[in-house]
Amino acid sequence: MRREHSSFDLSRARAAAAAGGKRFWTCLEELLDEDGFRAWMAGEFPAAVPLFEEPGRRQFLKLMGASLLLAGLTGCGDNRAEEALPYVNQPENLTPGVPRHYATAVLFEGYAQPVLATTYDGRPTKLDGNPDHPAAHGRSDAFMQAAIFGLYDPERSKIPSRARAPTTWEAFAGELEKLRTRWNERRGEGLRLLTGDTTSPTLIRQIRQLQQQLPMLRWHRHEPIGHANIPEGMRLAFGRPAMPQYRLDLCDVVVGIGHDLLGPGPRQVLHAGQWTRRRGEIAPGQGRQRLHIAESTPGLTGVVATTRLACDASRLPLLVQALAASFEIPGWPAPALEDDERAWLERAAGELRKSAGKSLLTVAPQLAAECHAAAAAINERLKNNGMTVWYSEPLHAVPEKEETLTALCRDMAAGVVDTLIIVDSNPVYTAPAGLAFAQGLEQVPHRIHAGLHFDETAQACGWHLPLHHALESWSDARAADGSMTILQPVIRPLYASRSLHQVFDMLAGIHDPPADGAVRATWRDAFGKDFDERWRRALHDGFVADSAAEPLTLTATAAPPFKAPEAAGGEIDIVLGPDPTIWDGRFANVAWLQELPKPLSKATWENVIAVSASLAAAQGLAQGDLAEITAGERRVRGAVWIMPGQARRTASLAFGYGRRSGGEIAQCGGYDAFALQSAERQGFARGTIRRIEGKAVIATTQAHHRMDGFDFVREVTAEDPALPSARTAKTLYPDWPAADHAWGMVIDLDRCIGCNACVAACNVENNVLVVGKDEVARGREMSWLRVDRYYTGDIESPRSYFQPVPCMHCEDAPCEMGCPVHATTHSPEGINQQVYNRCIGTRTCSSYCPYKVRRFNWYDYRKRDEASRAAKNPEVTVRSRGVMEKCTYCTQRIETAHAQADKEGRALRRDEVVTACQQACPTQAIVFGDLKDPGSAVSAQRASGRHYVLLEELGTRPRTTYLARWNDTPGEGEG
Amino acid sequence: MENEQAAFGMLAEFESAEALVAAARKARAGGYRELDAFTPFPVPELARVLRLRERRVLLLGLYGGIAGFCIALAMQLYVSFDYPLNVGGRPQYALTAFAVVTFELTVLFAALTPALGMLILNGLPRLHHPLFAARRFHLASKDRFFLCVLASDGKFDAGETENFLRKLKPASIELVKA
Amino acid sequence: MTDSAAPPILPPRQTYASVTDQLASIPLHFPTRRRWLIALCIASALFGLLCVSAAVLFTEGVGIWGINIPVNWAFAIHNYVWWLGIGHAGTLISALLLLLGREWRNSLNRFAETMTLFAVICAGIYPVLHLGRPWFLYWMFPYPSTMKVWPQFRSPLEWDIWALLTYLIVSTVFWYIGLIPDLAAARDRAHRRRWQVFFGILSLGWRGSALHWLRWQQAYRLLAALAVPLVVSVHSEVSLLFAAGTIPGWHSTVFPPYFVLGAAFSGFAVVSMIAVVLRAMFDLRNLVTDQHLDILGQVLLATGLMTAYGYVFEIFDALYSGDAHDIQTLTNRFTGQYAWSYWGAIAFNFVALQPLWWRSVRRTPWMLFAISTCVAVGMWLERYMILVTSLYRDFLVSSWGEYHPTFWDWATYIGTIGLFLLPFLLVIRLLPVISIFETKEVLHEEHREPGHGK
Repeated sequence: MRREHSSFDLSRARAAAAAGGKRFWTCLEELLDEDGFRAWMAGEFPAAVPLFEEPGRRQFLKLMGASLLLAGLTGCGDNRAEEALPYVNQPENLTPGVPRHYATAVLFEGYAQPVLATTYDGRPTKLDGNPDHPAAHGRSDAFMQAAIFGLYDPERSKIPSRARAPTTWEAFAGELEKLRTRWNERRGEGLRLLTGDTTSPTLIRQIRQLQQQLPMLRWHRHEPIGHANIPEGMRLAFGRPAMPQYRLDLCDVVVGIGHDLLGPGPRQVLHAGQWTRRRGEIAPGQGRQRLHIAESTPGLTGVVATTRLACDASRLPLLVQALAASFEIPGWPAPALEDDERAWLERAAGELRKSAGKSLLTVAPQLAAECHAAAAAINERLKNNGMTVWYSEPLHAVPEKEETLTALCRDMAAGVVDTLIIVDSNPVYTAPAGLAFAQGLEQVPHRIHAGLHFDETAQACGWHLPLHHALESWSDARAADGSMTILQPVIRPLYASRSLHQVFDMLAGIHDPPADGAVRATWRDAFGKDFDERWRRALHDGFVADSAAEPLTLTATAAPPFKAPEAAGGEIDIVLGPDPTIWDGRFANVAWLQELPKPLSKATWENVIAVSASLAAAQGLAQGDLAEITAGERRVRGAVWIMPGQARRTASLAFGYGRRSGGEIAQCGGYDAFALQSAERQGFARGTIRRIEGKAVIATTQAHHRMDGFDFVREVTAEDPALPSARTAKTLYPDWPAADHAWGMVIDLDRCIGCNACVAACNVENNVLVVGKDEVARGREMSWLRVDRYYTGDIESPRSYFQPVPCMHCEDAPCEMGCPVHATTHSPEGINQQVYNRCIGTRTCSSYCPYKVRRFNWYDYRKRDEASRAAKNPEVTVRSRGVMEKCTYCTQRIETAHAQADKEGRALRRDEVVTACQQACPTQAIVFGDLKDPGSAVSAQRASGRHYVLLEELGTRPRTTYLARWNDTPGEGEG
Repeated sequence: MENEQAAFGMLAEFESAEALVAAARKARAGGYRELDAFTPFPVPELARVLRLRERRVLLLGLYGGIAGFCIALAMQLYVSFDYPLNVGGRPQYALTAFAVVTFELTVLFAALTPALGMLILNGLPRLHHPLFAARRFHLASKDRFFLCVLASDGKFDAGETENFLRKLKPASIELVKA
Repeated sequence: MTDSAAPPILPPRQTYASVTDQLASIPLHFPTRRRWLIALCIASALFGLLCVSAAVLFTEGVGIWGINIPVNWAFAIHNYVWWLGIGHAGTLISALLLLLGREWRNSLNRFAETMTLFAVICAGIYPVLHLGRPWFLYWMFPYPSTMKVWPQFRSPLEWDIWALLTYLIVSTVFWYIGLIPDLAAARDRAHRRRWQVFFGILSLGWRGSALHWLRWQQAYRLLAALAVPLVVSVHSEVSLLFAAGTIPGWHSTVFPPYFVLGAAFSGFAVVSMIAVVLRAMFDLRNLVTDQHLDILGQVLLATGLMTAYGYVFEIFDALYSGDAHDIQTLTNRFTGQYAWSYWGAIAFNFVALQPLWWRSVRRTPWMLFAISTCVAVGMWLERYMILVTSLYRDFLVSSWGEYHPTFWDWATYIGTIGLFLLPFLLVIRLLPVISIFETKEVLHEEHREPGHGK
């Protein structure tokens, strides 16, 4: 309990101790009874404050304990009633144990991910996409699913601190008073704000108002990944910043240059949904959408693409240039291309032309603004603008030239920055090494950081203020499609944190701002007179009705002349990108995202250096070797991963690891790719790679990736669109009396983009525990549902496949027969049940399982995963040591549905039961339902010509089956 | 008379199994019926000579086997009947699968009953016995062969029996006290 | 096998008395105290290791072993099978050869049975150790529980527990019944009070009455007659632990005979090792003669060749089925990551065996010992191969894995060797290591009309 200026005075202490007679004290501050201590107590343990009037140690400790307990349960924030609807208004409606759902959103790069939060007794346990939301349609991605663990992260910063010593909000308010007078004198001169991208109307309003008070105040923005080049490119193309909005569902042809449309990011759910709507249509005659992707490092979109070109990062601009040239965009000379590039490009250009108006060209966000301008121009030529792509106001507040991080660093170095307030951003870690942000920061006299974690930046700042998690706070933001969501808290704040709007209110001089004040203020203006009604509606729906972005009518003035830099000789391309599971490190302290396998490498708990087979061969690198990447004078060292389909002379690095602070889990390992990030070019560098001594154990969940001639993943082509119909597996065994329902699942491999949303959802729904890197390395990961990844063909340009594998729920299950104690049996509805409390752990079932979908608790993993304890789903047993576990088709959901139906005295509705994986899947690749109901979706799927059974020859008669993938790759499939 | 009452029998010691068998034959010819012989290892001829009849041990084995078989089968069938569960679609009464345990239990019972039966019929364990008092009887487990005319024999008379046995040229003769 | 019409097994000029004194005096006036004590210390140390590993195992969980998904059975099951296999030879020697009237077995059966006993105990602890929740072992037995659940009798593991217990009980009884007359002999030789009481109680007051002998023989032979099919059933059933699974490399009908023969093979090897050691230790050359070693050598060779046939058939099986996964597993065994275990098995179980074709080799104790050791190792490798090379790469390429034994895997295994040696040493210290009366029976036969079989 060290506090600032606590100069210790022994004599005073003695005196106090003597004077007090038998007065009890727990620490010196209490003994000396300093105001600061009282204040601190008031902040931390309001319940304990009155005690100091009549001190009594036992009672004090009692209440202290109680108060701490409260902190664990509901949080020890101030107890003013905020109107979270409908929770606080009708508490009498609350039945303990019955979940309640709240529509709100979590934030990702400033964008709202609209969610429906399931809470038990005021404790959120599960997030799913908001089914009514136009952008989400109830679908989710891994980050959305994992947000719950971000909320319960025990290493979140809990109280304000100054110079790393705990202090109070009051103390900060006091400090702020002093600062504000100075700011007012200097009209904000030297006062700088730094935030990430934000779409929050309230935040923008607050900052603008602050700028009115302090005209010289400057608001800088820094989004480590972001998409800064896109609005810039639109500015070049249209003369004003804008955001392209794609309509993949209207495209016959999509050409993506380096653009992982379906990959992780704020737009993944939106794009995946659109893509699926079009992909689903495979009626004969009406062709399929054709997707042509050129990429330097394999992405999810490349896996499902019709044609995929592995192209070095430095040559991607050349492709754009060539394409622009072929569409006669003035000032874009045709570059020299290699044969495979030209072949791909000609096909792409041809198809773009062929289906003009129904085609789309997109380029990677990290490509230069000129490329985006060119793309806009080309789409203009193709009459695609307004059809397959339209343009909206930028959803986030676009920074001016002077508002970038670069400008800030320049000023800091120049010493003109007096106060820097960093809100919900971690530039010390995420700023490009080229900008030397940390060094600059030291020049700044007053440094204030507000964030969720006591991270690298917090350590470099005098003041650190804990922020609410999105699920604790009132706020607002815009989803990827622009529609507004008002975030409402679904849980009382766990710690003495405040929402960022409260922080900005404080900056504006409000001493103790209400939690929802700012947000209400914003919307009171927006909604006008029928505020209450619309406010309630917005909170209830989870979004503000028809607030989606409006299309702008723009005409492209030709893109400015541009000549892509020719690649220089000896060096290789280095691509720096977000990590698919922890992004730029903001999710790094979520153990459970760390353990989520990266979609393609299947590595966990660290980032690797992905290189092509040929580059590895040239450098004498083997899987797991340590290598050093050098770009100029900057270098990082990491483990090598030989990535099939990687462009020949490109090494891909991922951000987010090599953290120096911010939590035990965050600092789990890996290298810091930001160290290579240059000031000028985002996400790209040129340099060399060389092998260094040592080998790393990469904890991957799938060591082997070749299908080795087996047909685990089957394919159909337009020529022969049907597989041999499934053999009716004959069995000598008499049939068991079956119930009214026969649950089954069909997974459409043609739709799976391997995004991990299903795995994530399954883990949250079923309380699947985290086991840690070492255990994963030993092949002991716990996830019930895994996404297998296979390759066929040449390692340089392979064909890749994803195959989600849950339990097959075999009718004649080998596992059940093996269990000596009836711990795994067959339910009348055909579910292969695992009875945890009966299991004695002989593991016979797993030995006999041909699909190896069973998972075993080798240790008591509950001890290792206490972080997520509060997030546990009360409907699902948490498994103890020595017990086998596996996919249950979310049996708890089935039973809940049954109970509900019985209560209402009706039969189960068609497709009423939805499994967690099915619910999450952004492409609706997973269908679950009743096989006995011929009208159910799953029965329909089973009737498809693409239907097949995994390892059919074993005669296990699985309930989980697959739909074969379409192969439309020219030469392989349809021409 | 007292010592006859008190006698257990007359014990004659022989050098070899053959001698013992011959002696036993003579003794039966001599009209003695209550005879017993003690040897360091089984001598099958003796059973013939002494007209020993014994089937019960083998029968016990048979009964045991049958019992084991029934118990095992009944147990497994009842278990499947009492709480029928669909196990991998296998039949509820999977006789083929039940065969193994049935066989094991059959063997177990068929093995235990004769073993115990043998001990019980032999009146073992019996840690003390009059014969152990005999001077040279400890050699019965080493290399000597003993013939014993039990006192319970109607023809038994300490004097006569001793004379009768002397004619068989034993290595030693001893009257064993009850 | 040899025919007992061959020259007498036991050298002439031995009397009942000499044999009795020689054998009964081993416990009573124990010869090689120092060597025995050293052996005992080593055994106890190993046993201690087992206790420690078990303690750690029960507190931490089976995670301390190298097992994982897919290889979630390894050392525990592997050594279980290995120990049980060794056990079987004891029963076969004493029961089968008794029925076949091979007197030469009379010099070996006692310690062969003893070996069986403790080998089976070593095997028996594994099904407990390898459980995820060993404290619920009793759920495998049918008892009326509050949840009304019963064991699942379609499971090979359920069969296993019954087979194992039956085997343990039957071989214990068989061993003890056979021991009683010798205990009596030892009782009568004992002079110190301690020993008299000790043997007096154990021998249950055996007197060697003709009628007792008659019943004894009936019981003993009946037990023998049951023990032989029991052995076959037990190891066949053990093989079903694997054959009942769908896993390639396991799912084969050749397994039962393959396992039984392998078991006998490894067992005879260990018997030979013990025979060589004991006869040297207690100077029993007159009872465990060179001819005994010769015969053991022949048996070893025979069973070894039958096991080799098993190897051949396994290959044939896979190729004939033409199943892609079976062939995959086969190639993995030949060339995969664990190929050493396959070729090791071939080398130790087949190649190393060949010298036994020569009489001189069979009659040279140290050579027989060396070869037997090879076989024991070879069979260990074979079991490892069958288990791991099948599991580590089964059907779906995606779930292929690896297995690396940890320190605790080894500690547990080596510990069981202590569990085997410790009681074995105590037995040879306290009880007659060679059946006295049966030896005398042989002498009796030979004195009367040499080389006449029963």
